[in-house]
Amino acid sequence: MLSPLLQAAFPDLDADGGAVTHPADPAYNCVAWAAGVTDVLWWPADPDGYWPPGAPDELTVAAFVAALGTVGYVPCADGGYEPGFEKAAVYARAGVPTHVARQVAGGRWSSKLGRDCTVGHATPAGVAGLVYGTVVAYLRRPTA
Amino acid sequence: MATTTVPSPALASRFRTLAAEWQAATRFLSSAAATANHPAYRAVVALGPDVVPLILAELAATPEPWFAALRELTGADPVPPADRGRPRAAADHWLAWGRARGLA
Repeated sequence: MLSPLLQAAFPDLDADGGAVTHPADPAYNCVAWAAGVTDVLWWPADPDGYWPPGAPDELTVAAFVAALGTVGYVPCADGGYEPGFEKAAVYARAGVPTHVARQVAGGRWSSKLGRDCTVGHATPAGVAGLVYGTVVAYLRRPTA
Repeated sequence: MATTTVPSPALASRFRTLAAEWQAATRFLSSAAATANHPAYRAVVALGPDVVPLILAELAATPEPWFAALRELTGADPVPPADRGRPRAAADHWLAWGRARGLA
């Protein structure tokens, strides 16, 4: 059961099979989660964030694509499930990146929601909307 | 510069109200810088250095991004570059800084 706060912020999440998978943890965020890290905040142009060397230190979609590229992701056409790959979806509002979701085994998606909890959802649309906007880029990397 | 003044109950109550407002409004944001611009966060900073022990007590419980506020309120920055972006490590550095000054 999603909390009222989650339902209010992400009104499509419940219908998208949304479920909390990990409790709130301010020690990492969505980009770190997509990169496979759980003790760092990945965010550009932020004095309290980490951003990988080699990626532009700016709040742009291109910078997010470059940052995720440092951990093996490359742009791909869509978020459809491809065995042997894991995918990431970059969200933006008015062109400004807001969130990254990662696809997990079986094709479901996983989103670390800011400093709050991590949720699973069936499609990238589950956390789209007022808070994060829409998906503007998909990336993929081979699973280990 | 932080002082060793014990926060008054009124200040503690005001801080808790603002911190809860900030937490509710920014919990889903991934950028610490964005959360530090929220009006409730700015209002905490406006409370002045006496609020530092309250912030450190919050950090001891959970590594929420209070680091910008602490820098503004104290003029200090005890987090080494290697631990930038690591909230648990940053919180530990700030708590050590506070303990050395009787603030945590």
